[in-house]
Amino acid sequence: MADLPKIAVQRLHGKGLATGTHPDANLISAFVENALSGDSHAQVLQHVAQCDDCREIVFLSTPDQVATLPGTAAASSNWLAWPVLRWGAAVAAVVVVVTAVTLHRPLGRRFVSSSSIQQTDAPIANERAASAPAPEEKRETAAAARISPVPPVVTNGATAKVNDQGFKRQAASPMLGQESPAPGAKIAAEPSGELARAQPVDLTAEQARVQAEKLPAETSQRVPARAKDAAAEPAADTGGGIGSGVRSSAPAASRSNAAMLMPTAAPRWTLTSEGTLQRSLDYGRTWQTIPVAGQAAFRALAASGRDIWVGGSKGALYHSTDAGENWLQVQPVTAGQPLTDDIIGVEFPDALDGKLTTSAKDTWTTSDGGQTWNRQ
Amino acid sequence: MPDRGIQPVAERSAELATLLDELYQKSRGAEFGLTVEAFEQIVQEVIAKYLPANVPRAGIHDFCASLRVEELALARACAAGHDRAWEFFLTRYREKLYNIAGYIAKESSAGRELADSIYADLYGTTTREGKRNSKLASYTGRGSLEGWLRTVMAQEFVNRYRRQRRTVSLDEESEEGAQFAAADREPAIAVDPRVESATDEALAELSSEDKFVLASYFLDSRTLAEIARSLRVHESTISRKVDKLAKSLRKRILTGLARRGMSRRQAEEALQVDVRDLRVNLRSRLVQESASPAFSEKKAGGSG
Repeated sequence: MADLPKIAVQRLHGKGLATGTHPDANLISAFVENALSGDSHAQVLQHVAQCDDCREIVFLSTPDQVATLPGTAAASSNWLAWPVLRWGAAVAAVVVVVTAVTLHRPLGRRFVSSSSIQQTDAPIANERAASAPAPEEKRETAAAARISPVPPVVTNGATAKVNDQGFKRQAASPMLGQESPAPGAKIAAEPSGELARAQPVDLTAEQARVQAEKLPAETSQRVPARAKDAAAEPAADTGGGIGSGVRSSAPAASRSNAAMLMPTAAPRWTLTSEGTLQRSLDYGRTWQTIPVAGQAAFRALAASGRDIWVGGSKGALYHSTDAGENWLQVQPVTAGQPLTDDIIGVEFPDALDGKLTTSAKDTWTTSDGGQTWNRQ
Repeated sequence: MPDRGIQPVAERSAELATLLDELYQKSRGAEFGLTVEAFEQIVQEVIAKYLPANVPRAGIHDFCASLRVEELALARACAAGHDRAWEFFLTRYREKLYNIAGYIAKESSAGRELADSIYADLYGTTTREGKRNSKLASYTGRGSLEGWLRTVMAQEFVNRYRRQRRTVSLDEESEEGAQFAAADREPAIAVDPRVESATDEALAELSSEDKFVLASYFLDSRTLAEIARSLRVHESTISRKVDKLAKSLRKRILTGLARRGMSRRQAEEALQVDVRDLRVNLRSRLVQESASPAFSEKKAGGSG
């Protein structure tokens, strides 16, 4: 996070001691609830930006949804928090990079062979040789050719086809042509490998997620090297190359990365002042009304995982075990007398033990998930 | 309350009269003994308070439709001392009142004390001409009643904090060493007026929301999550915004200093000077700042 110049902080503070008429509680509360129209909102914001006291009041007036709903706090576990997602995305990006490098380096070296490129297209090989590759890379290429487990002469039809495709792609791409340093076989063998090494470095977390989602369908368009892997997989299996095992695990790793990057948002719950139940699946950004019962106005809510309890006027008590999809009315009865007072407090720390507080100051408890009740 | 804008419904329009009638039905004011005339008078007062006299009818219509009339009727019925309204209010808001106070005060006993104090104000302990003077009579239905209660408590909390700061005992001052504080030393370095003007110029170019974000983060030490919640955006958005604003502000100040004849190196050095070493005549500048127009929603002439 960049720092503000100290003089700017000082001057900002000087402007923060503005005096004059402050907006009243009605305007500030409406501002906090985003209920003001454009002009009014802009005026209050302008004042609040300059007035330390009003800014303090705005922050104190902003409801802390997690703090006001204890049940929800337990439901929204920490592993879904933004920092975790951020680090998860970073780890996923690293995994993608490492996987890509691991996959394509052995594959490229298997094809490194001066004889093979000469068989494929000698004129272009000569043209690439004129681009003056680095001596170190030449040595690396030669060493790779020596340690390659695959014979220099291409005998596998599928491999030869891939090689040919890779070469055509290389020839059609001026960028790849510039970056490919090795003459001969390296040109034909490495284009996808080079691209694969370069491409994941630029991957953002979002790109990685999209890739992981659409890997089988879109790989050929987004990451050519991976398309080559997918196409060459059967051939690699038959050939028994060292990269085959690693390659076959790549889609699975990508899918697991996708699962890690796309957690399902834990629902958040709230009750409106009109007594309707609302649920948010996007961390409180938008809320949707959940129909529970016809005329009941709810005043209390307890949420723990997928178990939701809501209580309200005239003893209305409803329970959902599937995060609000289906509701079951629960009628607390003790000694033959049903609960008819308004329920103003509901606490269910676990699925079995619960406590209701009524407007008559009675406390109803259950220890069997609402089957039987005791009044205190 | 100014008289401007308070007109009988008949003088407005038949359309507005119909709207007020609909709002009265929606408000369920009859359940709390609120007559239609009393309700219309309340709405007219709210209109007069927030809207300029020359606002078009459509603006009045939209404004009235945005009011929380059910909660407005409840609050005004409570202020008038209607028993059933109070019973309903307590059932719905009593527990919330204490929860909110605890959240604001961050401590249970202080929270309870705050809630009790507000409750007394809401009920209206003082009398004026034999009538109870309830704070609920000032609720206008612009936001929710719960939000208004939260804001009223926040205001009371801030006022108490200020009062306590003013009435620190001598013992406390002694413990803090304030009695033996050294006299302020003379300025070590004179402030370059070019730095001040360039900084003020750069700050003036910022939007209100940008100033709010910067002041909240750098002056009030609010967390990114708190700022994001108050502006209803994601925390990461505020994180990016703070970073971007700090960088762009620095760049603008440097540009302004360059325009005022400073070299790049001089400008960088001027920004690195610790302002604690600078002696800015804040008092005189604050007096100048306070001469800026006071807040008034009506002045914009918006529909509110």
